[in-house]
Amino acid sequence: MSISLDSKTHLDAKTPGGPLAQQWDKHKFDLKLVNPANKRKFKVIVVGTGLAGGSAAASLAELGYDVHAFAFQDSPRRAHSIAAQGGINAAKNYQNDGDSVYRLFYDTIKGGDYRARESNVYRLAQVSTSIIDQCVAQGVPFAREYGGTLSNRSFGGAQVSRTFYARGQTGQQLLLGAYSALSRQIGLGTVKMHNRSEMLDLVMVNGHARGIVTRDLVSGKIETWAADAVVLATGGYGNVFFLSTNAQGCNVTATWRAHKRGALFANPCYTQIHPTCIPVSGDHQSKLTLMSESLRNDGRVWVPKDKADVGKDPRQIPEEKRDYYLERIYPSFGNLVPRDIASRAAKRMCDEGRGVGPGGLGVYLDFGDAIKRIGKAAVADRYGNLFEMYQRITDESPYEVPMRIYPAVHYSMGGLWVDYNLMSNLPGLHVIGEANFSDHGANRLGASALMQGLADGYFVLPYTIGNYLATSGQKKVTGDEPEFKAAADDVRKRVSTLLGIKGKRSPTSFHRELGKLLWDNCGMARNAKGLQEALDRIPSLREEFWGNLNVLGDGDSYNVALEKAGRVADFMEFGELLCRDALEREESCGGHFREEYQSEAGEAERNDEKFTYVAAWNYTGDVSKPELVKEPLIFEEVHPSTRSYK
Amino acid sequence: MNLTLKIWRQKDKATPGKFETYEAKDISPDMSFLEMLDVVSERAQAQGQEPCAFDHDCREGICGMCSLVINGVPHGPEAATTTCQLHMRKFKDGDNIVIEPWRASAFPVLRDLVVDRTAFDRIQQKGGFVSVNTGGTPDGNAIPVSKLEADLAMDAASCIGCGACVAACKNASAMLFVAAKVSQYAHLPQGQAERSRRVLAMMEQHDVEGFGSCTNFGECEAVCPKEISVRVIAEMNRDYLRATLVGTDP
Amino acid sequence: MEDVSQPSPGISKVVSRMHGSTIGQKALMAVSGVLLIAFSFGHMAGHLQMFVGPEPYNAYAHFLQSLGGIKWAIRFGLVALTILHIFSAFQLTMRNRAARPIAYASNKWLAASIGAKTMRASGGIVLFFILYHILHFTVLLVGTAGFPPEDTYKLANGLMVDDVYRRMVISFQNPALALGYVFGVGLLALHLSHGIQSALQTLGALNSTYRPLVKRVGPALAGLLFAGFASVPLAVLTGCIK
Repeated sequence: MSISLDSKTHLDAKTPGGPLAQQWDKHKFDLKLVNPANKRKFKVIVVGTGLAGGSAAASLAELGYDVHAFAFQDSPRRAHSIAAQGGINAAKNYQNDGDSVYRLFYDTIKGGDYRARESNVYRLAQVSTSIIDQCVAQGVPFAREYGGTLSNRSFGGAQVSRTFYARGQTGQQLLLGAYSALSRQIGLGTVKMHNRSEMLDLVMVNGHARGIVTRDLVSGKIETWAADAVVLATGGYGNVFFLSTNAQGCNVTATWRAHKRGALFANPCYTQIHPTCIPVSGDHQSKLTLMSESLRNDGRVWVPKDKADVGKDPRQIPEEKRDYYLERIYPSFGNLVPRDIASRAAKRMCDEGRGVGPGGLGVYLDFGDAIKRIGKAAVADRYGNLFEMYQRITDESPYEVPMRIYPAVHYSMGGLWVDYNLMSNLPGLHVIGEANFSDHGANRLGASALMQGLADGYFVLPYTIGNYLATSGQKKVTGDEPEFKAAADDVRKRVSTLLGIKGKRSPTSFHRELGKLLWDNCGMARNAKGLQEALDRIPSLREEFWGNLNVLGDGDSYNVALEKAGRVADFMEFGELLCRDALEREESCGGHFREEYQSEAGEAERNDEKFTYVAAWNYTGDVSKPELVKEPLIFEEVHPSTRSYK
Repeated sequence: MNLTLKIWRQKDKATPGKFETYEAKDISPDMSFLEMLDVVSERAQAQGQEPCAFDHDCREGICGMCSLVINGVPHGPEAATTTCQLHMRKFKDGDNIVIEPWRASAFPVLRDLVVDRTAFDRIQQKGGFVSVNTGGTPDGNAIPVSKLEADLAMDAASCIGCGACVAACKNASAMLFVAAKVSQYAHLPQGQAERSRRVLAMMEQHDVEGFGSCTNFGECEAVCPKEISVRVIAEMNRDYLRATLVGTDP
Repeated sequence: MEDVSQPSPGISKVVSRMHGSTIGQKALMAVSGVLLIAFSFGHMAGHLQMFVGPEPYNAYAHFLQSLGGIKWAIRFGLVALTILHIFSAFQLTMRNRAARPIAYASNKWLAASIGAKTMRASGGIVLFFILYHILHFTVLLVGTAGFPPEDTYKLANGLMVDDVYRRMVISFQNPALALGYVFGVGLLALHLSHGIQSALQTLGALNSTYRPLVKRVGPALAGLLFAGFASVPLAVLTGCIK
């Protein structure tokens, strides 16, 4: 389990160096290739089949590798990438509005609040154009203009129209595109798909990642799988907050298990809060529903100027008594400020006591003016689906009453640390998509998650993994090695421990309590006192979990409570690291807002001198005592400035 | 509100199942149907009963994982809505609710209300794709696609693969599912090269999986949470017959 | 994926695919159904000559009788189509039953019309109706009570022909037979109210533009057929035709 890092203070990202624009081309040339005839001799495990995992598994199989793909869902098509609504960015400049690879790169670096690695982001912007071509060729039905060309819109914080979309279901269509490519390979026999199969541990042999341990969720069977390389594409950890826009099954288990086997966890405190979600309605709530932030293109955000008006019917509040606070504070971006800024502004309004709806946790998103300006039909044409969804959940019609929105946890910028090759510090362990930390810095721009997932899976990993396989020089493993047996035994022991506690509380009740603790102390705004309190309380909650958990049934059959318990157990440990990282980072940047570090106007204040680094955490054997390893961030191309959207 | 639930319980594929009755008390009308089941399950667990298993994931109506036949209607009484987005305000205090799994020989029950829908994956694997490898594709704007055709393709492509069409069909036919995929590609230039072989191969697998035939009742269309029209079935029939009789890809 | 896009599929492949697939079988059912419907309309048009009088009706009947080989070819064709129609229905029904081995405890229809839901029953009864109809008017084996022993009719050109007109009138003056026939064609119309649009859908004739139209045309055509067929016995029963 011990890892050797070249230098404890200087993690080597293995960026190619040289002019930014030429790095990727040069690097591709420098990468060692695997002879086509030899590719089928290399087995690659891909865990997770969303945009990143699905596209990677398909692309690797097309190249000739022997791919085994794993998903906990019943089909690769269910991965939560499917829920992304808004779109995917690409520097195509089809609209002739001045977009370029450089501008997309710049916007992403700036949007990430100067906490991302320049080389990775530039490459992301470069390959973004190929993604669109690839998806069109797959038959993804992107929105079109009457002339037959692809349609674009501007999206969350960008001043050019570079977002490609398929109605409000872009994530679905892109995922189904990747799924179709993956299905083709499964049909050809080049990918072996394992559905309803959850990765519960990583197997390290001779310091290299060589396999995984899974539990078949239907039969309960614990199995080991040996390979030449392992790819984790297991998504984000937003569900640590219990309530989030993530799917119910999203979890940190795969990445956390890898972390406990030595992989560094980077920037866990960078969590993105999405400003336009439907507010919580009661204690029964199991998830928060996101509505595309494209709503902010025409909707105006406001709260009553006067606290006394919060309980009133919003239609009875006259214009002069409304505070369109985003337009007031950020006159040049108005309602289209980036997500973190819009979210915090909403929180501030609610903290001032001007929030509306149940518990005062909501602000209005009003389409009254848009309906007056372009007509109800045009509004329905643009947002009809979202309005229906809102009405289904809240029983209120946004055509008549302003919507109520509130921010919710949405995306995790943090994840396992990877180098330029998307390989973690553990040789052979590659991490792609939301599961890694690489491209979004401290805040992700809208329509960039889909871009990154597909960039990693289609156009980066297939090159870089070949280099590892060609150069690793490792002996073949069969799965009979003692390391595999030991890891499988660990998993079995863990399962029987969870079943054997026989306490009083359900896994969900622990999850809910942990989530509330984190949301209150490490949510949209954080401070040292709250974080310390969370750090004090999580270990005792964890102790109660291991002493008072109640999981019925057995381990040899379909057991939903057992699945959940395993995931909550990992959240219990991960949550502590999240708070520790947030406490350590004494600045405000992107999705990480420390109340102690803000300007008088309430804007985030970075501390570039002290914190221009990636905080990568190393597991030391004690969850409460991780070791911090830093990767300094060097900005050669873009010079950090204060983000201003005023 | 208080409700009486009759829920199908089944230990595994091999063991026959049966209905069990649960009282759901103090249910908030703002809960979603699945949140109501969460609450009932939590309470049952506290009493030492194993929670009822049901498939679900995104809970926002897009992943296609949730299912349930609720009082005889897949995804319950509200049109164009998945079970996860169905809210309890659509029911009345004192209602009896019968909850069953999708029933089809091609969708065996794995446990309680969870069924195995991998038959859909296998159909997709036979031809639900454009045979194009990663890389080397032409510019996205190289081939214009009329807005009308792109919209028709998108209508079909919005299928979430939930299987409600199979559950609602008296013959447990998966024609709407297959046809949605076939129609998506049929409306796009990228799908033309493999148009004939796609429809033949996917339908062959449909039949192999043991789904029934289409009787054109339109029940599938009525329950489809994405409101996919049986128009796509007519299109697929045409493509299938043309491929069978003529056999060439256009 | 099997290479199925050969330039010419070959006749054996066509036959096996039509016979061996759900869409193929359904298409066979649709094609046979459409041809039988076409025959029904011709048959109905012939019947409506009852309203003109015995002369044209008997002349028409005689013309049909005198077709000889063609007549037998048509009869043979109709029987073959009927068998094909029923055989496909039977095969698909067996398959469909196997597709849902466990029925729902609670089941609710949302879209299916009455015609759709009763296809199998209406089809079965219509089959018996047609058999009776043939035994009655063609083979003259049942329901012949009251038929005169010498039932010839002298056409204007002096030709002595079967007085089919007379037999119709005598038969339908019996209320049980007349109402039985109305009931029979009523079920046929019910069958077709779903059958016509179903056949068009199966043969892929419905696109989004015409679908709403055809959804109405199906029942309308079925209604027309019912009106045409039912009008004769009702006209006899009410004394409009004597």
